[in-house]
Amino acid sequence: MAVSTMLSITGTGAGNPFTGEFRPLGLFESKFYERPRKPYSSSCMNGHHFPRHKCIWRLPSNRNLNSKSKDSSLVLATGKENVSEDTDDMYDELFNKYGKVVFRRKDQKPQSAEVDDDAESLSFAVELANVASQVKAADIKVLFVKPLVYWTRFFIITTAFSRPQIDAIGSKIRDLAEKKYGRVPSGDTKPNSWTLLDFGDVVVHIFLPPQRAFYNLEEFYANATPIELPFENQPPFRG
Amino acid sequence: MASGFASKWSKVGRQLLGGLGNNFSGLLSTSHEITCSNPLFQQQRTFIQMRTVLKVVDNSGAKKVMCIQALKGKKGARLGDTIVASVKEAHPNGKVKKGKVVYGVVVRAAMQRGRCDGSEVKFDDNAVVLVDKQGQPIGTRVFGPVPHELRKKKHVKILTLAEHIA
Repeated sequence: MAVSTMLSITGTGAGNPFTGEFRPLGLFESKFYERPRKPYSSSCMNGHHFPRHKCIWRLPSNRNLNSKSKDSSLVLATGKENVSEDTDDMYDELFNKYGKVVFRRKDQKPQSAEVDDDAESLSFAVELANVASQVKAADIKVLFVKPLVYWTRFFIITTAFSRPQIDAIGSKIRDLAEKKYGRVPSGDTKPNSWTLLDFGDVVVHIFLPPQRAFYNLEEFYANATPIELPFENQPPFRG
Repeated sequence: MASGFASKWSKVGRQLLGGLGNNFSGLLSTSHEITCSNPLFQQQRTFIQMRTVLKVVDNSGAKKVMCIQALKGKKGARLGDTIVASVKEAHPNGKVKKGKVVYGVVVRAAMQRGRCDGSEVKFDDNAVVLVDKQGQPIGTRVFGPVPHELRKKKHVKILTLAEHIA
């Protein structure tokens, strides 16, 4: 449904009345009116650039559309170049009425709250690293990956030398997280040569030494700032 | 000429949801638009099932695999599901060879998948990352975008190895 409405808007030369058709359109659709896509075009509707790959498509949700109808009408204006005179006047009216407000993300917290959350996660991460070092895990690294990766804040990468040790580290970390912070990880329950515990904003990776070298996450996340740990780190290879 | 244009439009429309370009908006008349946004002109994408050929997007050595079984789902696999596949094409010196039976996690699917906020995601191709039976990725890096659905499906390892997350 949304698709047909979107298309009829583009043919505004026919003089369709606008007000009726505004409401179903949403934020995402403004980006559909970019240049026709050439092969290997680099831009995508999210503004991400993929040098080699084709785009991904997100259909707008009807639920969101109605609540953002006012904002979406303004966003549409910025995306299109060849609009008719009627729409220009219409947009001018709206701008005068509501001011030049472009869409503002409602789920982003202010800077101060973000920093507090980061500090909380940081203390959580450092505590988990402490626990790991108590079990004699080697070469513990805590990386602040928030600027690189949006789905988590911290990575903890550590090496264990045997499966029972991986099990021990995993269970100690789980217990501490549950008791002190009340957070339950989603992740591997059985120990694996790469065991992962996902606490949402902190992700713990426990490797066996050959796997650590094989996957080489430190190289992949080399741009992340490492966090100083308050205890002494054991050397990566024992004996 | 109009028919030629319509067929070109319908092909593009199939790929791109039927809504593109300032050029198109200028050139199309109303009747064209309505027919092209019609479900009859859009390709219906479906599940990944037996005999589906998928692209491999990690550096495990394989290039193309053919699905032989979708592990969950009666109709087939979707985005984020695991499949059993047979390697059909591989790089000469890679970790997997042609003819090997491997497990894979679907990271891009042409069929749309709904998200909890009501939106849907779909990609232009079907792509898979090879894993072993325990779920450990065989390759060390994943190329191209991967969707967020993998986190819910406990494939966080693939997310950490991915270069871009959708």
